[in-house]
This record gives sequence, structure tokens and C-alpha cells, in this order.
Amino acid sequence: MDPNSNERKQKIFSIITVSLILCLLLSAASQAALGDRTLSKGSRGSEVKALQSKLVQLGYQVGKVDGIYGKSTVAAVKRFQKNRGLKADGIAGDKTIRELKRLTGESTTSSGKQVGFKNADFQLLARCVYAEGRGEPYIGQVAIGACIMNRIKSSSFPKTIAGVIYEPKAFSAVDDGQINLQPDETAIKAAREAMNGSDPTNGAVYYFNPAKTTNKFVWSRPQIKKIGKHIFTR
Amino acid sequence: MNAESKKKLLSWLSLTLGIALIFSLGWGYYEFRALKEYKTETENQYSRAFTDLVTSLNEVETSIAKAKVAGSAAQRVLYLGETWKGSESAVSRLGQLPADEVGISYVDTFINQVSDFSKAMTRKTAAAAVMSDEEQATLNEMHERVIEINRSVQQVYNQFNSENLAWVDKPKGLLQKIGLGKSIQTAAQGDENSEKNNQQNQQAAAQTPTSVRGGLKQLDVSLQKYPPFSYQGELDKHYVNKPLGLPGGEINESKAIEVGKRFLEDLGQTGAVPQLSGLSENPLGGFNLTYKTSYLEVSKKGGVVTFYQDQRELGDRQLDVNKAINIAKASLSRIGWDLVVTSSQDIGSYIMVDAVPRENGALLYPDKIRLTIATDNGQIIGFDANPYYAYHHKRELNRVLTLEQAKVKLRKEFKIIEVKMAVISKAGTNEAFCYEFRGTAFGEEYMVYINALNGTEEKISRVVDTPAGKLIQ
Repeated sequence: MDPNSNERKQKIFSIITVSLILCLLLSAASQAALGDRTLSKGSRGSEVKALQSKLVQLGYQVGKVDGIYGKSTVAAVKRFQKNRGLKADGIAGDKTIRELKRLTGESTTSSGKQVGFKNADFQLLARCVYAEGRGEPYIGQVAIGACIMNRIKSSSFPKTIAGVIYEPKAFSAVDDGQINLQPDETAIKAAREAMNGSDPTNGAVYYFNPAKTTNKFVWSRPQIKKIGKHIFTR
Repeated sequence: MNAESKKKLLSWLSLTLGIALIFSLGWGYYEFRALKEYKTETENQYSRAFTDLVTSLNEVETSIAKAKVAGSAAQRVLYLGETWKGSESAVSRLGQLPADEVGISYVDTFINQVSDFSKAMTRKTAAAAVMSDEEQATLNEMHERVIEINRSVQQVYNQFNSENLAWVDKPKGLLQKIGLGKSIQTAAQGDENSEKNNQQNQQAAAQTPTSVRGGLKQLDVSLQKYPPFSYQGELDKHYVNKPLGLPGGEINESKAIEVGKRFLEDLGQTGAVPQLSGLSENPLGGFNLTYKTSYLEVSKKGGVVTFYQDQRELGDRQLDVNKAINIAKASLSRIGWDLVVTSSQDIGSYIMVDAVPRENGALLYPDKIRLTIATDNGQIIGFDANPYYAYHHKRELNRVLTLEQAKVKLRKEFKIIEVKMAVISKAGTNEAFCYEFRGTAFGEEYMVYINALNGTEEKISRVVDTPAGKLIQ
């Protein structure tokens, strides 16, 4: 056996050892749960993935849920922090992750039994508000949400959020597929307010953009007020 | 280029083109198949909804017939309940059928009213009360109309099955469409000739329909001739015709701006100069004002602020829920409001709160005010007093039952945590003066309302802990 081959063997051995250790480290990292460590730009792994999907659940877009803490994740964390009144530094520390976990948790009874997520159809309302009203002032977006809620209370429409939104020809954004866009935070906030019962339209069930509509039916409805580009009618 | 290479090029070209042709043919066939599949799937969904509609309507018709004759409360509750369930399902199916335009559907309205009425009557009968003669008459009248609708829809359904009726009438030809040329993309969109269509529909009412939607429209027209029902239900209460709580007198624009300025300054926006941004036509409305990031509405009648919202940038959170609420309450009492917070949702940078006034210590739930409070400084950034001005009035609140008498009405498993007096809203514009018992049973938290005049159990609310706070369901 020449000394050269011995050296090579040692080299191979050390490479194997190092890669084994690396593998172990990596798998340990991927086993780690969200909240074990502070995540920031450049972090990778399943914790980041968990963080991203929780952000998406609350309506903060991160692009692809890929387990890489990139630019868009930083931006989403910043927006989340801002909306939650936390320091907006884009770093998912203990406080941020705890808040994120709390908000995406299930509802419980007084004895602590989990009873699922309440108001699951809220997401659909938020999407409809976004698809129909992005570009409108905030109050105009609340008004669109309120219109949908008013339809549920009116005798002329279906009685659920999905029933009202998916009724054929009820909303143009449903027909052209914009309803499937992810809502932004403003739309989510507006939808929440509308679902809570806030109604800046004073009972409107229709609205239209006067610059784009010649539809006689909506023009014939009693008008209540104009908010942003939309006229709200009864 | 010599002849041979030309030939070579040509053969290469034709080969490429040939392959491209075969590929595109294959692709086209694939797309055609996929489209057909999608179409079949969609049509199947429509057929299912339509058949379910027919089934539900039939069920409704049968159960009303039985409810009419039921002698015992138990049977009546059962059949009224079936009517309620069946009509709810019919409305939901109706909303799944394809439509070609926006408009009011009288079929929808009617079936919704059957649902609403049978719900109210189920409740009434279950509370051991007897339906009045008028209510019995309404039920009979509804039955007559349900029979008519049922038969018409079945007719369309038969035609749909035997003649392969289309879902909607064919739209105008492509050329006509281009000729019209105008964009009809609207928020609550529809066909721009809906009025013309309506006239056509009326003319066509006597003829046989050419589509399922056409058949439903004919039914619509035939339903329009009936007078509306009058009963106390839950529907169509999203709009208040006669607000009870607005002060007297009318104000003009400059007074409205003055009121708005005062309000903004009282809530911490010193030196505010609101400007008129629009008018609104409704009994609670009047003047819409804006100032920087704020929007507010001042009523014409009585000159009060009914709605206010500030969209300012919110800073880092400094306050917990209680601190924020206390600061907000202090600024509210500065402008003359004395309110009790009944529920709150913690959204982080702001808190959403429902607050109600009191009379003789009783919480007035119908007269609630919705507040949004910023957690950076406790400022009120949202104020919605529409329910308050719609329903607030002087009430005679004299209880007949003592607390002990009311407690007897609760289940023995119910452990009381807190007792309050409260006015709650019921079906229609009715209200009930109640004992509000907050307590636990079966590991859950509940609020049970016992009528303080007659001991009826009026309402049960379940309290659930959500991530944002307690949710009252």
C-alpha cells in the first residue's frame, strides 16, 4: 500500500464524516418547531415553512411557501408586525412568532376544548372585497363587504356568504376569476369590519360604477350615497 | 443557392410544418376533449341544483299542507320546521342556477319569505303560543302560491328533461355585440338591456319558455301581481325607515361642518377643518365629510355624527386591551357618552369594541355603538352610531319576575357567574326586557336570556374564546 492511497482514504473518510455531521445538523434543523429560534432573512427549513403558511393563513402574501426566508417573507413579517402593533423589523423573534401562533390558533370553549376556526367564510368575504374593491378607499371596501352582508339579511338573495358571492352574475369579479386573487391586508381589515356589522352604506344591496355602467336596472334602484367610485343603492 | 439545396430546404420546411400541424391537431383535440369534460361537469352541477330545487319545493308544498291541519303543537312545529328547512334549501339551489343578468327575483323573495315566516311560526308554536287568525291566513295564502310556483317549476323541469332546454336564452349574435361596443363591466353587473328584456319577458309570459332561466322569469312576472305579505320576521331589517333616536330639527351644510369639527377635536384632532365630500340619501344620512385621513357622516336630521373613521398610520402598540378601552371611554365621556363595553376583539394595532348605553342599569343591546380604538395611543379611530340612532328611545323597563323566579327557568347544570338586566332585539322590530345570565354548563360558557315580564327563555348565546377575544355566537 503506498502512502498516497492512505492519504486518499483519510481524505474520503473525513469528507464522509463531515457530510454526515452536516446531514445530522440539517435534519435536526428541519425537525425543529416554529418558535425554537429566531428566524430572519436567510433562514431556511421547515420552521420557515410553518411561519410562511401561518402568514398566508392571515392574509400576508409571501410568494411561494418554500421554506426560504427571502425578501417577500421579510416584507410580510414587517406588515404583520405593523398591523399587530409590534416593532416592524422583519425578524421573526419570540414575540412575533407567539403572536402569529396565537392568531392562527383554533377557538376554544371555556374549559379549553378546541372547537375549530370560527367564521371560516370570512376569507371568502375578504377575497370578494379585494377583487371587487381594490383601488377603492378603505371605507369603500368596507361598504362592499357591508353590501354582501346586507344581501344575506335581504329577502331577495341567498342566505350565506358563499351563496351571495357565487350567485351567477352577481359580481363581475367572480365571473372573471379575480375572486381567486389573494386579498391584501386592507381588504381583510375591511371585510372584518363589515362582518362585524359595520355598514357605511346604510342598507345598500347593490353598487355600481357610474362611469362604466349603462345597466338600467342598477341605475333604477334608489341611490343612497357615493363612496369612492361606486354609487350604492337599495 | 442551387436547386438541390433548395429542394432540401423545402423538404425540411414541409416536414417541420407537417409535424407542427399534427401537433396542433392533437393539441386542439385534447383541448376540445377537456372543454367538453368541463362543460359536462358544470352542466351536471346545474342539473343537480335544479333537481334539488324541484325536490325542495315539493317538500315545502307538502309540509305546509300538513302544518295547516296539524292539531297538536308538536306536529305543527315539526311541519313548520320542515317548511323552514325546505325553503332554505330551495333558496340556496335557486342561487346556483345560471343567470344572464342582474335583477330582483320574486321567486327568491317569495321563498325567502316562506322560510322567514315558517321560522317565526316554528318559534312561536314551540313557545306554546297559538298562531293568530291572520297568521293562519298568511300560511294558507303562502300555500296557494307555493303550489303555483311548484307547478310552474316542475313544468320547466319536465321541459328541461324532455326538450333539452338551454339554461339561459342565447345572447345576441357576435356582430350585434360588436355593434353595441360599450363596456358593460360593472361592479354589480348585468345586461345593459335588462329593461328591454323585462318587457320581452312580460310579453313572453304567456308563451312557453325557451330556457330554464326564461321559465323562471315568467314565473317571476306572474308572482309580481300579488300583494306583499305582512308578518313579523327577521328579513329586510338591514334598512331602517324611521330612525327612533335622532334628535329633532334639521341642519344645513355649514352646521354639519361645525359638528364634524367639534367631534374631531374632541377625539384629539385639534384644529381639524373637515370638508364636505358628498351627500347621502337616507333617513340616517346627510353630510359626508373628510379631513386628512378621516371620514365622517353627520345626519341632516338632528345634526349628530353617525359614522366616523380615521385611516391614519398606526404606530407600535403601547397599550393592552383594558388600558386602550379606558382611554377611549374617557374621551367618550368627554363628549357625553356613558357606555358599557359588551365585547371586544383584539386585532393588534387596534381593538374593535361593541359598547351599549344603559337605562335603569339595564344594557340596551339594540342601541349599540361600534368603536375602533388604536393601541398606540388609545385614540378612537372608528365610531359607528347608526344602530344607536336607529333604535334608541325611551323604554318602560319594569320587571315582573323576581331574580329568584327567573333563576328557576334555568337548567340545573347551569352555574351562574353574573346576572345583569338587558334589553335584546327579537324578530322584526320587537324587543325583550330580560335577565341576562352569564354562566357555564357542560364545560362551555353561555349567556341565557330570560324574559323579565313573562319568564320565556328568549335567547341563548354561546361564548367561545377565539384568538382575538371572546366571541358571542
